[in-house]
Amino acid sequence: MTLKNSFLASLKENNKRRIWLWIVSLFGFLLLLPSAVMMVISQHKNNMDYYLETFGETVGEQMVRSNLLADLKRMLDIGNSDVWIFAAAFAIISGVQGFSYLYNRRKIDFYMGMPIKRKKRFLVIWLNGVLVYAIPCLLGVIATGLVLAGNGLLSGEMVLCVWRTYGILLCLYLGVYHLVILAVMLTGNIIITGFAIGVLFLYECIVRLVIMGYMELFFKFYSYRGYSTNPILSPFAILLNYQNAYRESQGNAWLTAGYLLLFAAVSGIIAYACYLKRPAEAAGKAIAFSKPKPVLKIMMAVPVALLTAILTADVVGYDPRIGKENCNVLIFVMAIAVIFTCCLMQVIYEFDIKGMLHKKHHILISAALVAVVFLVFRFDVFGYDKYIPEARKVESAAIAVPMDGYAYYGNEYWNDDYNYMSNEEYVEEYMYLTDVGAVNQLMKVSMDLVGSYDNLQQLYEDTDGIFRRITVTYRMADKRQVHREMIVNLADAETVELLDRIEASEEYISGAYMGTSDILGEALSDEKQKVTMFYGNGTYQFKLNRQEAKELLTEYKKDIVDSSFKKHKDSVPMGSLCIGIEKQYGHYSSYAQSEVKLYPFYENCTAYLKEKGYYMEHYVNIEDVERIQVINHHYDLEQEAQKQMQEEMEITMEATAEAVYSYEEKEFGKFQRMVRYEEKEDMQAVLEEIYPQSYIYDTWHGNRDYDENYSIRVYFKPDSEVGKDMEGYAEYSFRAGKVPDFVEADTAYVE
Amino acid sequence: MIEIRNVSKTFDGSKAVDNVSVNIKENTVFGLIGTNGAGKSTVLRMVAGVLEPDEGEIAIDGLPVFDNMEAKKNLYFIADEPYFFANANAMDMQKYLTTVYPEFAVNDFYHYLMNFGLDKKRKINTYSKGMKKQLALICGICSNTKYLLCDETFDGLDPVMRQGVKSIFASEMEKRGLTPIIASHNLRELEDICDHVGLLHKGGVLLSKDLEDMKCNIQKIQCVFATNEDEAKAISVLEIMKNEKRGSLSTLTVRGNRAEILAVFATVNTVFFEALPLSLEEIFISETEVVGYDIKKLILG
Repeated sequence: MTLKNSFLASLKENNKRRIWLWIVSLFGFLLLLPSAVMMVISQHKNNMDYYLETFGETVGEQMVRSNLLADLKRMLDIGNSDVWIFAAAFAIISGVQGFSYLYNRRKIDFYMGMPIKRKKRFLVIWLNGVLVYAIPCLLGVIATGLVLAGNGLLSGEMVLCVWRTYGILLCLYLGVYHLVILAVMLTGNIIITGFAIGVLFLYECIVRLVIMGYMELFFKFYSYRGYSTNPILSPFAILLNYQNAYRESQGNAWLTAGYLLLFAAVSGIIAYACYLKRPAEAAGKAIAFSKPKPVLKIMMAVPVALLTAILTADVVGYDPRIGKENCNVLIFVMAIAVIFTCCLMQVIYEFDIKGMLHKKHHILISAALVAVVFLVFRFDVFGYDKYIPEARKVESAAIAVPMDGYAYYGNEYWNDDYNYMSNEEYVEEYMYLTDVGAVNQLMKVSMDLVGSYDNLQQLYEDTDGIFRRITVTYRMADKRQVHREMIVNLADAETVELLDRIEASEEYISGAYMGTSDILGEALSDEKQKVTMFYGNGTYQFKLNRQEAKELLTEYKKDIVDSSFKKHKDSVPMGSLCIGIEKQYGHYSSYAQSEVKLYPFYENCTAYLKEKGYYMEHYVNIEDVERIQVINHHYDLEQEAQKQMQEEMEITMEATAEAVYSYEEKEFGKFQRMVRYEEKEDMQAVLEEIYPQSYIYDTWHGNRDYDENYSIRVYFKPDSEVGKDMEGYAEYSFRAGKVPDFVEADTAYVE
Repeated sequence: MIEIRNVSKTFDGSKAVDNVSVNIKENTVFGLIGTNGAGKSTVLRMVAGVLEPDEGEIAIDGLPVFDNMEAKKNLYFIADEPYFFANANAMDMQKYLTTVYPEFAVNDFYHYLMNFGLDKKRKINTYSKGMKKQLALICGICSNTKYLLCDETFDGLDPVMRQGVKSIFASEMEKRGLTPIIASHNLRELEDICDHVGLLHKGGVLLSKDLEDMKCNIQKIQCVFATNEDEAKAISVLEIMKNEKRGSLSTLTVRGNRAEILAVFATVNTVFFEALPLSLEEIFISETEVVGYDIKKLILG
């Protein structure tokens, strides 16, 4: 009983010195909760008249209530960043304030000279730090409940939402609070504590940034997949991951709370152990413990130097992958960064600028470690670029081929909740290739290809090849994931054969093509979903109903089985089936669209489109065209002339930037030739060879597949439907080598 | 009893306290004397359980003190710059200390406050430095602990206050066996208060003795010997610590009991003879000079 009373007395005494924190907490939660709720309610009530007048009494009231509830839910749920920022900021203040007596020798002498157990003192301060957050928070939640109930807005869903939000935020608070206490325990004054908090929250991010930066800088097969700067050891990361999942109607609140509590428990135990070990004489010093000082210094100096080198590499253009390997500047910068960081840390340790060069051997150790890390990446000591997992150790694989440019736009894929995914994310989720041998063979071919060039610059400059990047994900038997981004030559027969082999598999088809997934079919079948469907060919669009879209998808699934990589590679789509779905979130809605490209060799699709009257022989109907304008830019001649002029200028030693500029101004467009066709016969011949730019730019051949010298503008008749839709004209291109002879002759350059 | 056995403490590589061993008996006023940096505060902070010794042991009534509540209940530590809660007044401090020290003498506290002329409702941060020290002393005395550790607490107290504190100490020692341990860099501050003195220098103990013993065991004699033979005879028998001679007048600092020394002088012929009282300062000078230190430089400066 005595102990209990003395504990409560200590709590009370400690609270007397934290009254201002109670006020801040209470004020913050009253502002964020009941006051904000009242403001939102008041705002909506002010709009009531408008709704009643516009939509009538019954509908208007329903709309106001529905909008109000949606706004309140958004304000009170975990997605509201104001509340977690407040919780985190308050945890930092509370943690530092509670244990700040450890910075002051006078206070330490006073408190530690008293017959109070250190454990008890910790418990008193810790508990007060929790109560000063939790009690005002609880009061705020109760007051909010009363406000909601008073306005007839309290529902089970709302109560659950509020408790979930503030339950998770309490766990977040504990995580941040404990990390801050740990920072206080490790340091001896408030400024260094501030640095320590920054380091504890950001160190992992910086280390991850450095690792990713060096992998990207040195490894030719580096894939960013599987790497992230998001820290694992951070309560913020846990919360933000949950928030992201929650926005997509996913995420497990209990699991998130569990992770946060686990983090809080681990950091709390470490902080408590440091508290028990912390010597009283640490007050006022930079670092409370002497032994870890050299380690901390080196742990700071190494990533700082490596990060500085990455930033400098970007500025000076150091990139060994493309043969720019002069790293003298980098070595100099890393040396300066190591010396500066070590000196700065030593000055902080000693609080004396004159001590900056003490413990010089730390500089040497840091420099040696920086050199080791740099060289490990530079010479790929662990064989990242040579690694191909043994097929028997791989459960399955996924490859993201930048087919039809999906990889570059990245927003053509949805998941089951109709949220966009990138091509890589989609295949990682849905593709499970078991023919790992083919994938490994492709990797090997890619490695041989890259190895046959001194550097990637040489490879890119090789005009005989068609080089593309393919992302590979290996799912290992031990549950690890290995990611690589390989470079393949699409002009190479073996590569194409391997891609054909991979793409022929059912696993690839079901995992790579959105059109074959059940997601689109389910969206079309669900009458509650607001879905739009049309077939278009880059010029014309035909609205489809759900049934037609489903049928076209069925035909597509038949065709895709008989298709191959090579066929896709060599073809330009004839059109595409677009399916869009609108998701409603209170006042707001989001729109997700997927485009299933259809190729001329899709026989079933072609037959279906013909049957329905949507099939078009060419991309533009002659009946809708008023005239066609073709421009031949003669870029080859222009480049030649420019090169010649530059050489002349160099010879006369007058090659200044101004001279080149004046060349561009005077000579630009000199070789360009334009011709207009208005005769039906000519126009028909042109229309047979043109392709919408959005289709032809996206093919496997990329911009080599179209003739970049020609740009074709088709002017539509003003009274045609397509003319109105396209605002008068549209741009097209010829495929390389498919320019009609008469167009070539008409646009030939004649001096 | 407070037992300090072979205690050492190092800060950032420099030894603040080096192998100190002292026993502090109950019901005495122990003075811990030393220059700035001698290690007095460190010893007191270790005795108070604030600092943990790197080596050695400190026991209070047989109990190790560091993080031991049972031991700490018996002591109150007044630091060189006592801390009081921000914006607190004397009443606030009393309320807090009452929760920590169950036997806190509340009535005595207000009684002493009144006697020392300290306003119980006035904010402590408006007190003068001396007033804060007085308040710290009152808090310490009223905590009713057996040991009171005072670090430089008497520096800056005026003579009247010092006398007041001295009489409170006397009364508390008599009443409940209080044992004040007072650290100071100034020997003169402690002369009239301490029963036992420990002298610290460069982290080590130069000496630790009862003042009475020291006073009884050292005598100062001024005399003129009748003949050189008398002088030689006396000196050969006495334990002379210091012998100053001006003309025929000899001033001798002699170790030994007053009666025995007088008996020796009774056997020799002297023209003039007088036994003089020794100040604490003189005793220290004599004692430390014997071990090779110039005490004047150390603590009298």
